[in-house]
Amino acid sequence: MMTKDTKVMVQGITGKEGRKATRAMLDYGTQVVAGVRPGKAGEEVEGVPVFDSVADVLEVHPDCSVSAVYVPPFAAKAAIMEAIDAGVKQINIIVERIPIQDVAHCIAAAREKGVQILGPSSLGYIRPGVGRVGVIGGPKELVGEIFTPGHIGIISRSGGMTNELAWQVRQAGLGQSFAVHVGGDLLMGTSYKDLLLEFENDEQTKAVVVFGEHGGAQEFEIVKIIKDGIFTKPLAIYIGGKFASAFPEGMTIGHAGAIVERGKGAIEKEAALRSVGVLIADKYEDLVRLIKPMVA
Amino acid sequence: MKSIDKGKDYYRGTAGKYIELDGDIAVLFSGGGASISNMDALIAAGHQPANYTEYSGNPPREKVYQLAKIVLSKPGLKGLWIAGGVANFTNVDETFHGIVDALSEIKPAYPIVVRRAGPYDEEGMERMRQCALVNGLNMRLFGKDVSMTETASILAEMIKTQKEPLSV
Repeated sequence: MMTKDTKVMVQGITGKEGRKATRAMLDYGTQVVAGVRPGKAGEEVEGVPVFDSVADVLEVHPDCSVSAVYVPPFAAKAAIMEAIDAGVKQINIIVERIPIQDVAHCIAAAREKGVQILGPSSLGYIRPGVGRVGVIGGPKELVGEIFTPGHIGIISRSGGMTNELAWQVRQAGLGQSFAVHVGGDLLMGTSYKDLLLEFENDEQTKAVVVFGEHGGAQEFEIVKIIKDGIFTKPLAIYIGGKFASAFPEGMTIGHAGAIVERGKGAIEKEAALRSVGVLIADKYEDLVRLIKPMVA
Repeated sequence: MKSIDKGKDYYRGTAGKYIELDGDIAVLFSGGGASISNMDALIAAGHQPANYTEYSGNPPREKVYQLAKIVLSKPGLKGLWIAGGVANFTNVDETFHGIVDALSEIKPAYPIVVRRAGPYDEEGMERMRQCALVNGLNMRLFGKDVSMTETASILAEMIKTQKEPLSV
């Protein structure tokens, strides 16, 4: 998990979104040490030096462990593979609409090399009071109003709901330990399970809330790690999309990964989670109501 | 299903998807996650959505306008729910500007509830308020202090009151 020493580079730093994210990270105290844009070495974006390649960055900053990828969808695969091959430890992919075969290729390559991918379609994560990768929390006036250091971990399929949940936590007089937008795609570099195991090892985190969606089978992995006794902290989950069970199977409603599938709807997921003691929220704002007594 | 986010602004935001449904409450949601939790909330509040529609990722005014116009053009609507969470970077004022463009054209007589927060939300809410004043709309506005779910019940209450005026 992120510390004050974590160093970040931004691939695609000269684009509009890359620049905006760089500003957002710097404003929250993140050490953005470099940007990458082939052919633009020597330039600066928001005071951050631009390099031609990830390898060039690592030559100067061998301890830069994170890359945030802000390139257009068609260039995403090459950018991600460049970061994996150069030896970056963690890659946050904000890019949406990357062809799914490219995502599959990158996730497989990352696993082979022990690289963590967060995303695609992930706005990133924030460690309140420490820093953020990506734009979770928004502009600096807003981020301080929503996020404050505390003990609640947040995982969300939705970028907007990451912020909304963080606000609910804050409104209840609590703070957040770490808030992560895992992204709403069908294929994900980092799953709920991966994050819950990180939260298990994070001393600051006392309980976790999850904003989940219909579609996919990730919630069933949570059931397994609780049964196996490797995740033991209080957990509350909201799963949106009950209405979707009335739609034809195979239809996508919401994010790309929110596909209508029989047997994997919101109701089936809730039943499985409830059976291992997970708190189930009927409304998203109930997540905080359910989890608050657990951290008192 | 109509797809209206092609062309040069294709990559800037999603606005989006329009799935026509059997109900009579028009919805304009922001964010993939908020959109599905809001669909559930609307049904739990006793109403059926007239459509499923979502925009996100800071789409430009024009895109939101086109989307809002499609949503508002369905005949037989009884209410409109415009709802989204606390945006990270979507410009609330600009996206609301697109909705205001459509509202000013269509001038719906049914109740409208708005719940939104995030960058430029003050400006966006003021723009909505002015639009409601100028066009005589029956609209209520909420920020982040009221949850999205609660505003579904508020809309349901407004629809009930509108249908059956209180008699003493």
